[in-house]
Amino acid sequence: MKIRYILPVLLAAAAPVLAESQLSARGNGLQYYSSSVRASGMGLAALAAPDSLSLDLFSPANWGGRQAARFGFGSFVSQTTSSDAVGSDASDDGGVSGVGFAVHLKKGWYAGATLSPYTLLGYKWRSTDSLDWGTANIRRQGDGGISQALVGFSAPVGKGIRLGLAARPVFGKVERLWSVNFTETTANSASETISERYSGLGWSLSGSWSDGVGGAGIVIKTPLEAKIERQMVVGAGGSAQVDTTAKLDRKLELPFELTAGVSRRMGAHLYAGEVEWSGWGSVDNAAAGADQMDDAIRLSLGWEWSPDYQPLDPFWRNLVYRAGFWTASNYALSASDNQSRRTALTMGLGVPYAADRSRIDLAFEVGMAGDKADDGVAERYISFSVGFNHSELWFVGRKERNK
Amino acid sequence: MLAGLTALAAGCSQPDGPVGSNVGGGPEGRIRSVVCEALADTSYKVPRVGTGGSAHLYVGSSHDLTSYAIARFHRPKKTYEMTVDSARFSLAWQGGVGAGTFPTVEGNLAIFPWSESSPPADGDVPAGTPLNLRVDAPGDSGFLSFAVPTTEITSWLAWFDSSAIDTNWQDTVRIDSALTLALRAPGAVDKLIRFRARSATADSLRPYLIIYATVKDSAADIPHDSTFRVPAAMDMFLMNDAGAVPAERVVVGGGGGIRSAVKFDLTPLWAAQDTHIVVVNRAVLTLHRDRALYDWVQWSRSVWPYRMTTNDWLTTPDSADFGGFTLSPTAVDSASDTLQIVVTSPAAEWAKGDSLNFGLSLHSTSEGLDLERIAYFGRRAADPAQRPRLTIYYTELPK
Repeated sequence: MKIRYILPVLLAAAAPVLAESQLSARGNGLQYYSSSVRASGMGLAALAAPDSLSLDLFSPANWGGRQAARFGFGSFVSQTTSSDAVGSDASDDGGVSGVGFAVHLKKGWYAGATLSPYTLLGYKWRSTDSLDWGTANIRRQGDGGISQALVGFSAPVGKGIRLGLAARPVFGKVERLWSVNFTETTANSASETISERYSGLGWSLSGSWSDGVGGAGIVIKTPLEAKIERQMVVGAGGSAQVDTTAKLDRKLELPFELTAGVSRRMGAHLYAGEVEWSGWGSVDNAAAGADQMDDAIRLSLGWEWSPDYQPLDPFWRNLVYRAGFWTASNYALSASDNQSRRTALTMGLGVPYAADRSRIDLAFEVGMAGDKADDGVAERYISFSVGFNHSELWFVGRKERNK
Repeated sequence: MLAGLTALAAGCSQPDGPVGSNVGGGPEGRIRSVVCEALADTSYKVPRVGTGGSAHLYVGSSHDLTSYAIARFHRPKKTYEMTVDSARFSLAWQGGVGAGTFPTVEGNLAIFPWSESSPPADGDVPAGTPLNLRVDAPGDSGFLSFAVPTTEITSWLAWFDSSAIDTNWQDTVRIDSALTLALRAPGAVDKLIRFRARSATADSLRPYLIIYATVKDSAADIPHDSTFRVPAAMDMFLMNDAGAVPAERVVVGGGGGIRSAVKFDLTPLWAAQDTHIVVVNRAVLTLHRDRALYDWVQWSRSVWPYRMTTNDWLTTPDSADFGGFTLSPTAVDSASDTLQIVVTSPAAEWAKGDSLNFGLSLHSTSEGLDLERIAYFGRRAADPAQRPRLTIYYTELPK
């Protein structure tokens, strides 16, 4: 694979990811948890179960294995059905869920970079309001999210133990619109669009251990403060009444996060569990008029089966099968101050290619989020992810290749 | 694969129903309204404005109003030979203002330059040659005829050089060729006769100069009778109002024009701006008619609002400087005698700071066109509900 193939993919990953969830309207959107399409297929529980054919976008400590170079890419499409007191509505979404590469330097040292969503925000709906002089057509819409990158390295520090350190640039844009127009043709419409761009830098520390049977992993994300550049445009009757752009004194605070997992391999079967804690309850974004926030916890359980493939075996024995379950509380409270929850069942499949040095991964997820009584809306969603991890020797010198 | 995913993402549909609207998040606007009371109001007469294009020509006097009318006719192209046998002006009239009977209307013929866009002053209309009047059908409506001496018409046509001017059958170039009929009803007749003007819908009702002549179209032609119907090319009425403008009222009217100015206290709007961004969606000025005044004339169905550009009118009303007129829909509620005028445009400018609140200048839509006037209660009306008020509907957005 050549660099000219990689760049367009990196650019595509930098583009805003499409997402649509009414619950994402709170805070800065729903937190995104998947470190790879492989992880998506096994209930997001892949931290303690590194795989040499899958690039972990969240944990540099998992950048290891026999391959000299690795490139990973993931994408997804999903359909969400929202139901509330008014009725139900469905939306289709999709986008790039992550991209990254890691390069073997020497003696087990790896360097790499990844880019993935951190939060996803997307909502859109219209409503009408009766006035004594006409009807108001109200529109609310929000798009964007926060992306995170990791630029770092990992190294072996002991038998089966690797540590990783990465800078964690965080950036993104969230744009929200509220507008109204009227059936009365002489009335002026009004709208307000608030766009906030974020940029900040934090750190990610990661570690992994494996003895071939058992495994453990941990990722720590340091809290960070992101600068905010805010643009506000107020429209009045088709022209701008206010158009201001300013760098705000306040910062967007992102919390300390800790993810830990364990795994155990039993023959061809791999079992993994994972827990993630995000300290949103300790950050102060109130100055932004932000919604109430609370600490969020995610629990994941996953399973992966890699049949013992032998020459002349049927094709299905060459595949990797996955399943999992995860549940997470939303850091941004609902309008009723309730902490909504997302729960999902997942399935996945890995299809190796290129002499087993690379793999295409597929994942299917079905889940639910929110509660109509507690959160004002209940959502059901299905999601299909596809990605690939490609390993090559193109960063390695000839001598090393021929070892 | 990437291209396929990109195409798929681009084609995604998004929900557009109200589902989720109670979930919240993001900026949230609220539609509110405030009622602003009048701070000041006044009514004042305006200098005469051109009345060209009016549907009617008023002649006579009533209710402190005196008016006379003039109509201008362009010379027709003369044939090879023409002998004027007779000529007359024909005018239709219908109703009028005042309790008096149909007055004696005098017609005078004069040649002098004028135009509707620059109406002549009273003293500029010459007395001219008196004409003989004939009333065809006295009553609520009918026709008037003024016989014109054939010598006057023959003289008028004599120096028309058709080949040097244009191919039109009328001479519209030389303004000194215009023959003007002036209509007057001298004395206090308590009747303003309403003649139909050149903009009358029916052709037969318009003012005409009718020339009966014996003509030859060429040297070889046999003399024969011909009738030339020359329509009025311009007409207007010149009205003077000697009455006083009613005090403590908001009056608008045409004819001898009356305008009003009113300024509202926008404090409630400024209070809303202290805490929010305010976008004016709609503003409605409500006036209540005082039926005790001007019951002798139809009331103006529509009022045009202009935006005052200075405060000068507070001290010298007739020097009011205004602009920014926007054609505004109005709503008349005859049962409650209220008039509602949409004034969104000036109110939005005040809220945005694009212009200062110097008030509104209210003009009758018939100003310069017809005789209409109406009085509305002013800010000191005994019943507060009858006072002028400005209702502003606005959207309140977070700062």
